[in-house]
Amino acid sequence: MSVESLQHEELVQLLELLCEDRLDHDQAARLEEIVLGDQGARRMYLEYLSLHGTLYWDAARGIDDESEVLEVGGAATEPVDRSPAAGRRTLVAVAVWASAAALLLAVGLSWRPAEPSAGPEIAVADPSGLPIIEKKDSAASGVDTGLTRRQPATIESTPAPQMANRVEKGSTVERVVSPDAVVPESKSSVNPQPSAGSLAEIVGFVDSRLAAQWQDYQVAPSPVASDAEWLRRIYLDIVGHIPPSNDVIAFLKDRRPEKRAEVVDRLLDDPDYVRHSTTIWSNLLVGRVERREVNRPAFEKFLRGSFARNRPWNEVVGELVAAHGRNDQNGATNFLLAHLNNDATPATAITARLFLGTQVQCTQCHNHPFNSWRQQQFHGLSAFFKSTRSKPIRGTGAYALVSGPFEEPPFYEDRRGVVHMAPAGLGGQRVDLKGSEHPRGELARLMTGDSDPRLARAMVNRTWARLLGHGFTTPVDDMGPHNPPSHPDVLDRLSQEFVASGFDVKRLIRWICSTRAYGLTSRMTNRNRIDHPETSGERLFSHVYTKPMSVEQLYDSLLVATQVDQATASDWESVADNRRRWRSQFVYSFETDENDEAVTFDGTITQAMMMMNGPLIREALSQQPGSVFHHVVHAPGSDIDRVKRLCLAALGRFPSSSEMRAITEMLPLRSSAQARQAPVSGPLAEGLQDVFWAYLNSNEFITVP
Amino acid sequence: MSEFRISTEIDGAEATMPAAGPREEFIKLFTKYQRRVFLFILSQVPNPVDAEEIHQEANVIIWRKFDRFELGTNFLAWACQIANYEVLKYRERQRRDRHLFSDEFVRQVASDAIEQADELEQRRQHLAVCLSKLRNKDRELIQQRYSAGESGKSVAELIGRPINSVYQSLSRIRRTLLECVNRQTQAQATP
Repeated sequence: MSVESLQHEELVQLLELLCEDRLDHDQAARLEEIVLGDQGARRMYLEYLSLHGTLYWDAARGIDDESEVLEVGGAATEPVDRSPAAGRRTLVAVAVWASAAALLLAVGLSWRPAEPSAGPEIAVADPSGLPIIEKKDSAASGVDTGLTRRQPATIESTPAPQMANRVEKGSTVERVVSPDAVVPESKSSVNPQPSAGSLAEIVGFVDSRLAAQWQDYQVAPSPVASDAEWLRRIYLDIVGHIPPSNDVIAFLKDRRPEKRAEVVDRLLDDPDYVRHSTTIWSNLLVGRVERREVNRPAFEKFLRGSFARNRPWNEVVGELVAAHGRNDQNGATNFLLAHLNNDATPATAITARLFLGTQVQCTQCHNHPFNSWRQQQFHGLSAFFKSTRSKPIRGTGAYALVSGPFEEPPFYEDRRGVVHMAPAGLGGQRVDLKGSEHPRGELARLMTGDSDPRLARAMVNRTWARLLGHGFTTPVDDMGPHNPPSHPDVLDRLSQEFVASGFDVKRLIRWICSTRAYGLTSRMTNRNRIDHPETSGERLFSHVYTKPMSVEQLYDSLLVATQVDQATASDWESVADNRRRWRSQFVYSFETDENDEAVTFDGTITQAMMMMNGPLIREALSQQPGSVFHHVVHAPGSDIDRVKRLCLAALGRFPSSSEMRAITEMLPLRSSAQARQAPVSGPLAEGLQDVFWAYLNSNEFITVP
Repeated sequence: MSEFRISTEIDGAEATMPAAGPREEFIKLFTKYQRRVFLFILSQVPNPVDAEEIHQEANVIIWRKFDRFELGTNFLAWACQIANYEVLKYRERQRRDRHLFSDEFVRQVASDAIEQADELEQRRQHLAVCLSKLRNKDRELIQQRYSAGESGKSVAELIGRPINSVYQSLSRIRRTLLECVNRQTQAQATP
């Protein structure tokens, strides 16, 4: 062998080590020596790295897309040269169930929130996290562009780690967007005042305030969430279900930095945003339990209309508070009908709690021991509801919400037995209701006007909590001097901007979803361990707090993952019906004054049994044509592809290597060539059912990451 | 077909497109040269994950400086300049004793990489052909090696083969590919 070819061989060996990340420092020095010493070697180095990089770039995204999986056929991933020990086995049914349990364990173990990842690299964030893109020339391009149809013009990168510092120094980041570049996207009457800040300004402010606090507490934020984690989160948060496989694949393949911002916009325009918002608010406003006085379809229609048109929040609340008429004709009346019980007290309490973020129940009888609400204020608020009654309409099953003219202010007795008169009022404002035809209309005006900031603050706090996992206060609807917010400046700013935007709910969601904090992973690291509200009481938003799925999110996600509803081909109405029936098994009413209800959907035995053995899961695993499982079983390709697709459908990611190992050990997986010979059947079919079952029943499935 | 789909778009393809606004033009260039900028970075920072990270940082800057790019000039050279700066910043952040390669080496490689950019791009297109010529088993293995998040080590775990034998197979396959690309390139050079 010549000297040249000897050196060539050595070079290739070193390059191979480099490709597998196994090159030590001495070897690196040797590689350098060879490469720098010879032009041919330099060429070779670049050619090798270019080969390595191209393979990485083109393949890093796993299954490319739906059609391609189908084409993969002969090229699919059959394990090469399996050792006899790991060879095929025949599985009997018992073993299959045992293996399913083992799989559940494997899935569960491989996924733990709060896994510390050591090392300084945690501070390195991926700038593709969520760049905020703002259109520069919105003036030139018409009215309806606004924030919804943005094109990449300038990118403001929020998440990069240095960015936090940059924002603080206020030097490097150019604020390119003039305040008036923001155009309202609502088709209704949202009419922002000119002082509204741009997306970049608001998000930059929030990011810098949070980052400053991280520094004070000496915590480092968790890394940016992986694309798969982030996509699952944003889908569940905005449209209320997990992303379908195709969307996951398209998103993972997309390498453009603006892709996250685009998904936020797209989902806010999705009909499922309306559906999900309607579910959230109908649960809050009238509860899940059916009540005689409540016409749920009419109420949901009202909410759907409001969210679909993105009506200003103050307008919606005003309508709910002031509503009157028949509950089948004016859906908004159902809110108060659900809480009236012909007594103003529950209606007063829920109005204060949901819309003003203030808990006043106990001040009915005494001054609140902690908060500044006085007995008098409670009765001042309840005065507005005094003349409101619910009235059954004979022969129709419908109810009407009626309010007679205001007669006289209510009296109440304090604990010493002294009787007071309670003039109607809200906050510091008194209203003379004498002779008023419609006292609740007066209340709506007071609540939604500029003078009382609580409506905006309560909504900001609730929305923030819904998205990040915790609000600025706990409980989210108990705000006030006795329970100061964790980030008063952030809450203040977002509330001001929310008001300035004309109570634009979509815009509020977009701001929060664009913050650096929302883009972070929910996993904690060693350097933000104290940021754990349940144990330390600190909430720093240096990572996202995981949330359990709601009953509705779970149901809708199961449908997306399994498509059993496609298989049974039902219309929208019966889908909605099935969903209601399904969730009713989890909901119990306490029949209290305040219409309390509980959802036994918290990892209890009931839930576990429903999930594992319920008819929905059974259907999901049956091979009905049209279902995901049927599709996966009958698609061409290797069995490993099938496993990948089941994981993708359930968890929106590819199987981890430990899961894959567990599965290959338990199932007789075949190459695509073998798979072409015979359809999936017998132990293999059962095994794949188990895999899907395990994924659907994993903790990861029922958690919003 | 395998999962490796190597696009074969050629330089100057956009010349036939109808004239678009400067931003659209920029986006087109940006998208088109993504991979080549990544490969440029990888030549200096040979770990693909690190290289991807630097690439993302560079992308942010490239977007931000959109205004300062003159259409009609060499986009790749311009973008690589930015990328190069990001590589240096990355190396500054990293502790010196963690540097695999010296500053001199990185400088040299970067300037070579720019010189040979077009040639490397040619080779990349031949790679598509070579991949399709691989034996199925080999293609499957290399595909597993490079699919989401895998390394030689995790592939070995996954398929239950001794790790060294997997390294050997991967090495053999990469050499085969390199050889094949060499032949393709020569064949094209001598009509």
